Amino acid sequence: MKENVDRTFAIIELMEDLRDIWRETSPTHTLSPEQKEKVLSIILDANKILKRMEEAIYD
Amino acid sequence: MIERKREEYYINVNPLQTGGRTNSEVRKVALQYVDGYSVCDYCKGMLHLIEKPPICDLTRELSRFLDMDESRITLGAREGKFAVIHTLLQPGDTIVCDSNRHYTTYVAAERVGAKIYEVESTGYPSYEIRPEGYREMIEKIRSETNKPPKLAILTHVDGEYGNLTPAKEIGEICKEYDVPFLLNAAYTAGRMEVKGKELGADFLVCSCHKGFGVPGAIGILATTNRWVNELFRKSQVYKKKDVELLGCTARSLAVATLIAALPYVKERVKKWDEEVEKARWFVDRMEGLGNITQLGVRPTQHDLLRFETPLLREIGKHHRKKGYFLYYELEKRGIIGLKPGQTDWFKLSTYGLTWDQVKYLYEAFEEIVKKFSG
Repeated sequence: MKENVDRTFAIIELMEDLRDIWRETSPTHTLSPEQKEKVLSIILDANKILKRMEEAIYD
Repeated sequence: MIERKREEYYINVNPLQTGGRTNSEVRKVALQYVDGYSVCDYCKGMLHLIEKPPICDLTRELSRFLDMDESRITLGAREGKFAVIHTLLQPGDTIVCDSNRHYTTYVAAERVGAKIYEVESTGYPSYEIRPEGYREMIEKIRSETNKPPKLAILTHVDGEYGNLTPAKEIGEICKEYDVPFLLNAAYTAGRMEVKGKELGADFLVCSCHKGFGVPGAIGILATTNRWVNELFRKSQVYKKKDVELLGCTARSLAVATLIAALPYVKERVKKWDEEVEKARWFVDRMEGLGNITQLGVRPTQHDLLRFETPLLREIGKHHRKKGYFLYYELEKRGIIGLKPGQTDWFKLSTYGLTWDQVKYLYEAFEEIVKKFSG
């Protein structure tokens, strides 16, 4: 279960990267193509980690 | 649950807060060191000696970064000022400082029972501190008390006008009179390069939650070899503990995040010219709206800007929300950081905003002025 602790931190860290984008683009949060790509990549990575965590809980 | 999402929802221009905004790398470390005493897992008996996390390297790095000989972590600039005053002065001793000083300079002196002599600024509209004012005041103190002041304090950049003072010239005057010189770099260190010894500082205090992009509460007190033993003297009983710091100061995420922030701070000071450029661009556009004037030294040399705004005061006179209209109109456009009700004058800071955000900020003012004037 130590892996799940690491995964928990990894997700929080990804969210902090996402938070930076909201800060840089406030108040309109209009994203450039690069920022859109980054946001989508963060969401993808977070989903993957959450999925692995879910699987580990069921195992 | 208490919450705060101001930096994410809005453009925040509160001068007190812009230099302390964190980046994601800093917040990631904050998450891990959020528990009380979390930097004390491998305690060495004194905060600045801890190797894991590498606080011992941090204080060495900070000394190099600030061009001083030795540094300690404090809880903020005010605690550093007090430590110096308490070390050097006895009740009744005198201090010379600038009239643009922060209130904590005065309060720290009061706590020791010291008497303050202020070098007046040139007043409206530039509020400049002239180096020769320090010479004149030192001479005055000498003639009144038969001895020079025990300490000179200079606010490197003040929190009212954002004036960058000629610290080096004042440092030279202090050296001439052999008056120890404390430079309050709360609004400069971490934003721009500050080289303490080059400026003639015997003591340097910084506010990291104001200028190093960390949560704090944390500051730096740095000094030169001449003063290390006196300022950082140890307890007679607890041999590792600094008396003036009451042992250990900023712990947990405050100091851990400073370790994480320092590499970014070293990079961001290199971009200071661009920060000044943004501030000047903004001043130029704001003044172009008419009947708005930047106070303080011109052209500005800092991101903290103070505007005198008769144009907005006039609008407020006829607006149903009176002087509060500006605050609400800005908030509607996603901008915060001005004090509610202020339209005669206000302060703001463009520090750390992207160019797009600075332009958006100006356009918001332009839109408000167009909407309500004439």
